[in-house]
Amino acid sequence: MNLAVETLDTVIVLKLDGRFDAYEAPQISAWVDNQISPGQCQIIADLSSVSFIDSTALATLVKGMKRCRQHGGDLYICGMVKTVRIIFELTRLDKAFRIFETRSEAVNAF
Amino acid sequence: MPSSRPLHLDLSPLVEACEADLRTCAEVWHQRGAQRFGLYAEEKPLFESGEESVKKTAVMRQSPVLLDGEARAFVRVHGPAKKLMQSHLDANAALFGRIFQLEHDNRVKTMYLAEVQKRLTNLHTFVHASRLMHQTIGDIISEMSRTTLDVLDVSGTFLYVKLLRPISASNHFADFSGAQGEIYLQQVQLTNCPQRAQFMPSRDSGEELLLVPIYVLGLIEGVSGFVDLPSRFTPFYEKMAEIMAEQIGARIEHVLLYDNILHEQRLTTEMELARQVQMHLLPQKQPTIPGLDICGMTFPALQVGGDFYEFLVNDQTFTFIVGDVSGKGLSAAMMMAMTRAILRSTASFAFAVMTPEDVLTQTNEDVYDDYNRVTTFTTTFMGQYDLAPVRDRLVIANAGHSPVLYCPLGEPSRLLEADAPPLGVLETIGVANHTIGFKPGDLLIVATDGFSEAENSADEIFGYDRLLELADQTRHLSAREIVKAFSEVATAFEGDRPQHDDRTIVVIKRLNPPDEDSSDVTP
Repeated sequence: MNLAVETLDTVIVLKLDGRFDAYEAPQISAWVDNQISPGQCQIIADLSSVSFIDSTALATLVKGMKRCRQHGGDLYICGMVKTVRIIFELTRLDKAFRIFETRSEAVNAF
Repeated sequence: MPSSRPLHLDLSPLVEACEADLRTCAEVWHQRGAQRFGLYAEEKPLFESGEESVKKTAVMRQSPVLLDGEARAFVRVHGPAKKLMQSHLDANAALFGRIFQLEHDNRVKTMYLAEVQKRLTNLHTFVHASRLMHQTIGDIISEMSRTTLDVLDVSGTFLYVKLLRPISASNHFADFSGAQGEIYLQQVQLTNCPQRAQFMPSRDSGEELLLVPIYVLGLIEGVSGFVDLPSRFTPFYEKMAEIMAEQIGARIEHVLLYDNILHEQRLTTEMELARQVQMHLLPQKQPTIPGLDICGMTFPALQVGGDFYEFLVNDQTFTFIVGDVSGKGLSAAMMMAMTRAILRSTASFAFAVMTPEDVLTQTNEDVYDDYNRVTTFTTTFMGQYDLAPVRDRLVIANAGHSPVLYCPLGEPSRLLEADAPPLGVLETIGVANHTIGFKPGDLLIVATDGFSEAENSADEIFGYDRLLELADQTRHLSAREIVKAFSEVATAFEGDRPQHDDRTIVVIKRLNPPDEDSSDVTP
């Protein structure tokens, strides 16, 4: 899985692709640990190219969301494909995150 | 390797060894009229025979005794001039020269053989030392440095290994003071470890330092140093030094690998213990509830996970809980033990009827701070069945758990979605009780994502559709048989691929009343 980081003003977009599972989660988890700070706490996870997500990956996104909120920011999710959206709906994590159809909607929401 | 040190030629022991021959020779000369016969080196007698003082008419004749082409001594006779044949004396001198030379060579060879034997013994000690187990790298350094010194018989050796920081060096300087040793060591540290064997002059003594790199797992991790006079460093010596450095590197590798294996074994044992503790936390037997067929099981993956399930029975209700802590390993196992304990104690609260919603809301409040710190969460499904009076319903609450398969009699199976995120995600969870019909013939299967996310070698996920299909195909079986079928189908789907997550499944089936036809239900 690739991790592309883009900065749009004060918002950081994490573009993930492929499978987001227990094997890939540690690199995102490390990014969350090292990068999220009071000055860098408005994050968008762009999942439009993620085909599969497991519980460890979900926990990593929850961790990122909690870190951002602790610093007064948030972690939004955009561009989920159907299979990923089903997992968010079944686990009701769609209630915990703010989720947007497109990246620009997410950026404008900050 | 023969020693190239010059062996000092001392005549006295040679003369002593040949005393009988000298005496025989002297007797012959005395019979011929010689008054005195002797062997002298630097004007000192090594052997003398005959009268102390000789007649005034006596003459003295002498002949040099040659050793390695040099006159190292003289044989002398005193007596009447006409009795003393110079040619005889020359023959004697030549003979003794030859005897002494042979005796000397013999002694050198004996010493050489003794030395070779000593080296072989030392080499054996070196090899033996390199096979000892349970050693630390520090032990190896001091042991190897000492035995290397013995094998090569050099003035000094030392080993310097980077792997042990801040400094790990062992000095074994045979003929040097500790201070001299420190100087050598500093020289090595300043120049770093060499890439290949190289010589370095010492500061002030006339000696040289041969430095040989020590490779550990393909990287230069240290240096073996040999200190001696330049003349002693022959190509053979260099080769031996390289072989020994190689052996030391191999030995350090063995210890590192051995330590790794021990460490892994310890971890595996700890994980196994954690796994056993975890398995003991699960219900040890299936509950017996009139009108219900119940079976719960966990099929563990190799790595410890965070799945759990629980059955609680009191006078009024039968409660079942299935949960899955996100992540794997010991941390997930610890969070599982904690969450399970809180869920259990909350659900068993004796002074009021705790509904699933109450239990999950209260537990989320209790665990939220801890989950925030370790940034994980737990999906939890909880169902409650009334025992007195029996009602055709289940009260359920679901905090982010899936898959939950609901199979009402005569209808296709369907997934029940959670109505709140997992425990530990939000401070206020917003979970609510829901009532679902649970008439005879109805079936509820609560599994963990180890089933839905089972993966085959083509990277396909087992998925929810296959689970629903499987529920429809097996719903006529007993709870135990359904559990067995789910496990077997998931395992078969994975094929060669190892099970990467725990699989937990709880099957609750409402039985037909005894007076009705129960041919499709096995109690």
